[in-house]
Amino acid sequence: MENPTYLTNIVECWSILIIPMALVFALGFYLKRKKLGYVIYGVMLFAYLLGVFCNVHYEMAGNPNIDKMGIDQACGAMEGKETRLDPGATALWSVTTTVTSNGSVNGMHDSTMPLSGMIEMLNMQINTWFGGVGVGFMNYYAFLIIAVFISGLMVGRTPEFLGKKVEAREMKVATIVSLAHPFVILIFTAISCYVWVYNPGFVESEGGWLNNPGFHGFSEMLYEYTSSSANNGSGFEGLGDNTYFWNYTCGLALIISRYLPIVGQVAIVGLLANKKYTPESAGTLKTDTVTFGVMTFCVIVIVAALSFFPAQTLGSIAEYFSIY
Amino acid sequence: MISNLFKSLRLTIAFCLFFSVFYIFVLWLFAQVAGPNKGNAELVTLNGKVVGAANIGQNFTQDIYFWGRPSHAGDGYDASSSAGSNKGSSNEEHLALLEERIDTFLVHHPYLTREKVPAEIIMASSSGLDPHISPKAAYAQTKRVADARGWSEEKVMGIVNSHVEKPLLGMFGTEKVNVLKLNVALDQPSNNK
Repeated sequence: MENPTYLTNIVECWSILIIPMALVFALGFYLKRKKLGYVIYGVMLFAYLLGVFCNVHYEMAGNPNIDKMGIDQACGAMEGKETRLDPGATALWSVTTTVTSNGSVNGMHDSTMPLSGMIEMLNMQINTWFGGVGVGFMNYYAFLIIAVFISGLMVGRTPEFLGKKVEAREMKVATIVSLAHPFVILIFTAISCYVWVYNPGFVESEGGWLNNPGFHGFSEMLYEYTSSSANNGSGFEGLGDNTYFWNYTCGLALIISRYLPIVGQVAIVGLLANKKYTPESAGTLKTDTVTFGVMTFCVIVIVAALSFFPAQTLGSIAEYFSIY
Repeated sequence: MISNLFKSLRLTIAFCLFFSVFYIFVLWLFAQVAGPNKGNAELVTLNGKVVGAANIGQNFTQDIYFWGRPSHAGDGYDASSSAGSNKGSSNEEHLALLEERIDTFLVHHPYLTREKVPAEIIMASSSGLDPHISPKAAYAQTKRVADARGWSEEKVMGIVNSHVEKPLLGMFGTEKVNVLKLNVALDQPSNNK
């Protein structure tokens, strides 16, 4: 496991985040639009803290099924956690490692509470908050383009980003990029579920795959593809995934979900770069305001999170209601 | 195109060398200077014999020792196959196993009521090699150890208290007890007069 002491845990947690966080400021610095950098940072930090709050709460509160056994659970949900790194620090780590493309764990995610597991997955499914070195912004700006376009239409202003007009072609590419990620994850999860249900003989020959029955078993498969698509590397490690099926499908998911969006994102940059620079006027939609930050946050939540909520409902959320 | 490929190939090789040789070397140097014990494992000795590493948990089952947490590493505390249980919070089969562990724990500690069983002592750690238990889990076992050794409870309690490790700067982390160090302290000749 990570970290022999609590001190190394603090240092490592800090060093996972510091470069991805700093890159957002670097963006503002190089664009000479520091305020835009702050707004983006604010949105990312808000989403990150929301996840931290949820996970720390549920991990420290413990497992209600253990409470039912009538023993002393003041220590929190300790299944799959180390004594020196209490549930609080483990929960913080579980969010930190999933918002960045990190993937190291200091406690078993498979044994975390249902909603903590959902936050861990959502962080990677949205794949936008901080991200790896620059990868977070890469996806964030696809959503920025969409947000610019939508809010431009809403208030009747010309959709512009950094002095370049955003038009139909950029919108199409941005939409494809932001839908490719859910598409890959959900399609592969659907295939694995199909195989699990209709070809039990094959699953058995691969060692039975799942370590947990019911809703949590589905979460294990969803998490696996989410993690490989977001290039994360953590997992619900109960899944017996060192088999031909999982290695090949996850490899494919990783390649498609990593390189296909980059092609689109670079294409948007190319399209924008070829356009004439239009100086800001009264008719320009300001992208470095708090309002626009909130707008972007909403677009991300609606597009990315909602495309995953049907799947989450079958997994984590159903499990949550089955034990609370 | 060809020159680009060639460039990236050279870069790849350069980084491979950098991170697999140079970086490791820097880490090693740093450990020599800054790490405790020159970057080596902290060994625990009893009567001049090495009995284990302080940060790798071991399995204790005898009544005269304090017990660590359950382990899913191999057959239990197998340092070559570190693993957690990876069981979800709703897994019925696993909950039944936990129930069994509570019963076993209560059989060995008949003086405890159910509400006094600390949850962590029946729940496995993520590595399966957790070297620590909380002070609460140690206090729960004090009477059993004292009885098995024929010592007074105060004497064992004193040894436990002297082994409680405080959080970093009094704020960061949890209070904990290293099981191996505690058991070694129990076996010190000076305690067995």
